[in-house]
Amino acid sequence: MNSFPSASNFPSGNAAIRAGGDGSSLLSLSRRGFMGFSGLALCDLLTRQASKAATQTPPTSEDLEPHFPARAKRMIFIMLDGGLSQVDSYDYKPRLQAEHGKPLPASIKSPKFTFAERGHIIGSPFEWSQWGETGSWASDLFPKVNSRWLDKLCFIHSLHHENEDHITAMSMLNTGVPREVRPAMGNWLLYGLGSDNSNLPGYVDLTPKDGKAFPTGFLPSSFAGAPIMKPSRRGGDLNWDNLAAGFSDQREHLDFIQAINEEDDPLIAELRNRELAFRMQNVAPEVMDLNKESEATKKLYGVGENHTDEFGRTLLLARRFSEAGVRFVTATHSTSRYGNLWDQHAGLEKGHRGNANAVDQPIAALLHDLESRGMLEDTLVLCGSEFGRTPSREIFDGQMGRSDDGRDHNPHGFTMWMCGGGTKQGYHHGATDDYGYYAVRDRVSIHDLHATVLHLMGIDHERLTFHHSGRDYRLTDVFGKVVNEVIS
Amino acid sequence: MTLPTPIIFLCLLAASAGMMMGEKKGHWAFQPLQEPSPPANLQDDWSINPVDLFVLKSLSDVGLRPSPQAEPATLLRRLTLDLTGLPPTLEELESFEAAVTSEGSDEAYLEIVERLLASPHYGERWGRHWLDVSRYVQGKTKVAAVDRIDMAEPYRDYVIRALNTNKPFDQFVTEQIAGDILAGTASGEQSQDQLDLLAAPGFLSIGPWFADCADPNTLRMDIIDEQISTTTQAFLGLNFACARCHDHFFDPVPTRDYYALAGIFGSTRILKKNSSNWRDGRYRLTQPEASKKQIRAYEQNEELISSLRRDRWKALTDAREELLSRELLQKEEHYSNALRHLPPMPAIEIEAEDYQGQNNVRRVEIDGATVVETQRERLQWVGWRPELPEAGTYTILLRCAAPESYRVELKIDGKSALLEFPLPASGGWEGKHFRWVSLGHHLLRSGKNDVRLWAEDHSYLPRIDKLRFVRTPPHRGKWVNEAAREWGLRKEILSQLQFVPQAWPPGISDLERFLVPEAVAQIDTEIEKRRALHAPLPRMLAVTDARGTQNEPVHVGGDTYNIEKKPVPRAVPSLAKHLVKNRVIPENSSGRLQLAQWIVDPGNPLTPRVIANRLWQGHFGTGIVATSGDFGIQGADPTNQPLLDYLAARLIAMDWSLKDLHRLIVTSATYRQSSSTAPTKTNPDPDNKLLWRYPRRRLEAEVLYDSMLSLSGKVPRQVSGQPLDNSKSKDRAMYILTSGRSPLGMGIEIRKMLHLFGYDPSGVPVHQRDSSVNTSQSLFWLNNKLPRYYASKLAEHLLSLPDLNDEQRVTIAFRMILGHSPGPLLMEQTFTYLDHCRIVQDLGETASWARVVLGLFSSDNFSYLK
Repeated sequence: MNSFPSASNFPSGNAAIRAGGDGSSLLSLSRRGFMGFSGLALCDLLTRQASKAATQTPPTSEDLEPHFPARAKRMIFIMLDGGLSQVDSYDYKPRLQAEHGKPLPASIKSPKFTFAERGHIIGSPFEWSQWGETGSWASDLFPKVNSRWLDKLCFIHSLHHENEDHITAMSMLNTGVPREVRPAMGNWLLYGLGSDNSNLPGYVDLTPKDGKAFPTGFLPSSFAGAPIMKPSRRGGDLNWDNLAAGFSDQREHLDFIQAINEEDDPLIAELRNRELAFRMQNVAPEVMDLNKESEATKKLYGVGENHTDEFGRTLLLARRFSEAGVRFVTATHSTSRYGNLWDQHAGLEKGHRGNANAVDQPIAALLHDLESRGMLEDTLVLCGSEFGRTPSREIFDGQMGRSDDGRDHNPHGFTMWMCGGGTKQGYHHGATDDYGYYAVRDRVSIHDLHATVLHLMGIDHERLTFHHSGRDYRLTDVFGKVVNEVIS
Repeated sequence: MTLPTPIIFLCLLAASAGMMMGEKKGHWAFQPLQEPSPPANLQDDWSINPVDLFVLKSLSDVGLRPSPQAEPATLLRRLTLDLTGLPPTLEELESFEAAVTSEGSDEAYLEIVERLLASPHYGERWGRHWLDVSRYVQGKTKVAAVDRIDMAEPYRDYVIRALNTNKPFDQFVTEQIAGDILAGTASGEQSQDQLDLLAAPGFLSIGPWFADCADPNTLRMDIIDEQISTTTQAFLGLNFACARCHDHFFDPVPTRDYYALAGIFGSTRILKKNSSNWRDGRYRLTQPEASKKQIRAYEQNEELISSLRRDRWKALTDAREELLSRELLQKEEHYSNALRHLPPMPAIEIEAEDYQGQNNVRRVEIDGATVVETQRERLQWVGWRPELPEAGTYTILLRCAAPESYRVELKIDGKSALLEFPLPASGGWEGKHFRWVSLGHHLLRSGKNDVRLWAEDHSYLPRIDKLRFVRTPPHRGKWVNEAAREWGLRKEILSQLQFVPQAWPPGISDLERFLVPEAVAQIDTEIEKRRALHAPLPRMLAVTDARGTQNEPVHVGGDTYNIEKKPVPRAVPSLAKHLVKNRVIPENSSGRLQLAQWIVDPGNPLTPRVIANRLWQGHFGTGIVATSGDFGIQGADPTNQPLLDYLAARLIAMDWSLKDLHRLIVTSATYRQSSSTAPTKTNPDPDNKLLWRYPRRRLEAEVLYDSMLSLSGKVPRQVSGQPLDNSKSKDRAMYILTSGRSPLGMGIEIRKMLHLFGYDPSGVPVHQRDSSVNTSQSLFWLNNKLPRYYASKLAEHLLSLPDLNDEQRVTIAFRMILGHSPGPLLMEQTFTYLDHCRIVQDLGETASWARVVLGLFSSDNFSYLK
């Protein structure tokens, strides 16, 4: 290892070094130095790319200035896959209890197209009370998060979009469009900000739904998220694609490859990548080794406990990656095979309760852990689902029979919370109607959410663009307004 | 939709629209295409054909000189990979070297150009380039649960055939947009050509599936938009999709043009049905992939079967009439008396639509009654939970209808009670065809029982109306026999009436099983025989004109529900109006044919330039216009417009023959340049845009995979000039399933590899492959088992060659994998590594050689075209 150049000469983990069409551009890239990528701040150059950029070369400018000081340096996105019911968690609607079994009033219109037949109102089966010093209403779904953290969370109660099904809603939430393949929030952040650790990819996707990160769309694959499947119980947690050394004594192997390359004209970028890969392979397993954590920390996250083990490991891993400098970590709570874990069309009480039990302690632990390490200040934690659920019951024909104790999808008004990273504490933004169906006050679109997230990370969402297929693309398309109220 | 739909694009960012409007008309790509004469008076000892003169001119203008010709072995490797996507074999290398010695390198080179252009692998390699543009992804277009085959395969094979047979490009374009219309006017037997005409417009139908969109109206416009976007980018190098919401800010595409096209595509049918119920799925329209003769034979057989079914029904009707008049009407009173004297059999009747659990079943209204039916062929079931007053034996009866016999499994409380039970055919799906069928008697418990009917995998259930659970005492048979004897009645009818008293007088279906006229049995045998005769024909995507044509109004801001009153008449784009003849679209036609004719009109300034540029991009990695899918004002400027115009004009002059254009390009001195010339410090063109050397570039994912595959002997080379035999090529990357829908069993490692090296499986048009280099790729070569596997296969092969020493083996390995022998130093280094593996690591002989081969696979020389 001693013979290697120092780490700072290398590009960040997954940053792009484009071969362009020609070796010479590689040389020119390397001449300018790669430090532009480690800890790369966002640059106006990105907007300059909006001009006639013919090839998709990543930013290489040396004098990069951020748009404005970032409040958050990194982000963890906790994705409750399937649709957490807002009216059973954080959007308190006493009317539902009072009018249980009655039809929704005519003033609450049905959306144009829904998934299932709309039934009558069901009251929330959970206990509601006021928590903490702010006295915010919340159900008893997440007791550990609520008792310790409710005063520090920043809620948006008025999120909305129009996509009634999981696939398009999930795509909307992550990429800003429902039905096209576009880069996701994490890809954009990596494109805009680079990674802080030259040995790791800048975007890690923990336990993604189908074992795949979102495709990068038009962004080069070097901005892709690195998917990591379910952390296994058997130590190591080493499931990362191709990271496990295929055989031992690879040093000699690399030297042999280098000898072959040198007979020809050496391609510097390839060499650098190969060396970087070699080092990444040594670093990443260490980051992923949960045995490096104290027993107390593991216990805090609920590792080893029946219910919380899986997501506890996931969030502990998320913290380790964040700490190691990964810009964006997604932690999805889902089943890898069927997905839609939080999708209680039927059996709302049992399903939501079971899911909440699996994530409540790990989430509280993550927030606590981040805070005690002094990381919460500049780590943005975002938690929520692709949509919420209807206040009314759904007539549902499922495998287990016909049932009516569940709620349908509701993208028209739902809640997410943020914590840390420059967000206000104990703040509630926006509101839904009296039944929690539609966002009515201070409505926040997904584009607004994206704009706000980018803003907190120091990026002006209107200036982070990528030229492709004859247009300049943004994460926020032509929309998006920063929700200044949530920023502290 | 309260907000503008998210399809509005970021068109306004970079420049002010007003400024750009002025530029629209003067933009180079919209100017008429004229063949420029090659530059003269150049200092030239290098050029081979006019292509080189254009290149030389642009180089001289900045004081650059072209590079000398590359080594013959390098050229062989470059050309073979470029034209077929496979590396030259050892034999090909040897015979080429012999030819170079005997005939000179020039002659030998021209020979391989001809051999490779005639190779069936040419169509695969360049077909894959086109399939990127037409967003084909293997395995994407499967109609889940209906057909397990990839419906888009016929389109893919059409593209390969078209290129191999050198179909003129104008015809290739026309067929992909309007092949079905051309086929409609052609007559006679369906040859391969006719089938091709039907497969070609698959181009319009292989796009994203959008199966889960809840709003059918938005879905319809999204599909149209996808077709417009793909088509205009593929052929014109412009994306009209911007104009869905507003006039294109940069390019001369007004919104009205967009909706004129939307009318054309909207009057085209690619969906079987755009149901407002998303649960019904949005299946593509399909058609048999068979000759007219085969289809006719199949239809005749179908017709015969229906006619037999009609005969059967008639026989039953007659028999019923007879039975009614002879037996039932005369004895009605006897039957009621007999029934009254039989002990009562309490029954629970439930409506089938009150099911308590289902998989893929829905309710439908038939003649005023609600029944349940299965939606599509797949593993499915429906269940009920009858609440019974007491435990005991119950006969379960089902009132159902189906045109043919479906086998079902009956499960009671999770246990199988009847396996593969054939429910009899009842003549059809309609109200009159419903009949009561007994599923036999079963022990049920008091309280709730779980009763489920399972269909066979990939089959249907009959339509089901009601179920009856009739308490059946043990001595029932005896009583029925006695009563029948006493009243002079037919016991099977009496028995049936006891189960279902309200079925009086019984309909044909209910009576069927007592009637059984001999004719029916005969007919049934005949039907079975007929059915066995013809397996269903294989199917492919179908594109047709819709029954009624429809003009689309402007959707304001792209909003599905905010439309202008007056529809825009279907029309070809107004772009380049003065250059291209306007074509009038007939009232009764979608207008696709006219659109295609407009696109390939020799006056159209875009089409020939766009395709000539795509060819150039294929050969050099980057097009003369670097943005090969965007020739608009925002696209890149051509690096050498006279050259592009020359190529485009030659293409038309050569009757749109792509192979002739390939030949022109690859025989040029420009193409044959060395790639290893080092740039001088003062080089004004460090990025090699003007091509002062051959641009070295990373090979595509498929080529890397196919190279490993063919080196271990898995892709047999097919004879040049012979038609492609797909089965021999079946392992090549382009034929294996790579989409997200493909089962994981199909080599997840291969899928990962392809994606890692820039293959995009998402099914959007790809105009330039992502050739970025990243660490994951290095990790792949280092640690993935896929290259290790192929390395060990090749190592085994190397060791199986007899009578060779290590040096000869190493040389063969280098020549096979990299196309040249190692120098003395590298030879020594290889030995060092080989010995390290053998001695220090104590690996076996095969494993040690596999390491060496893996090293060669991992080298830049393997991954790069030079």
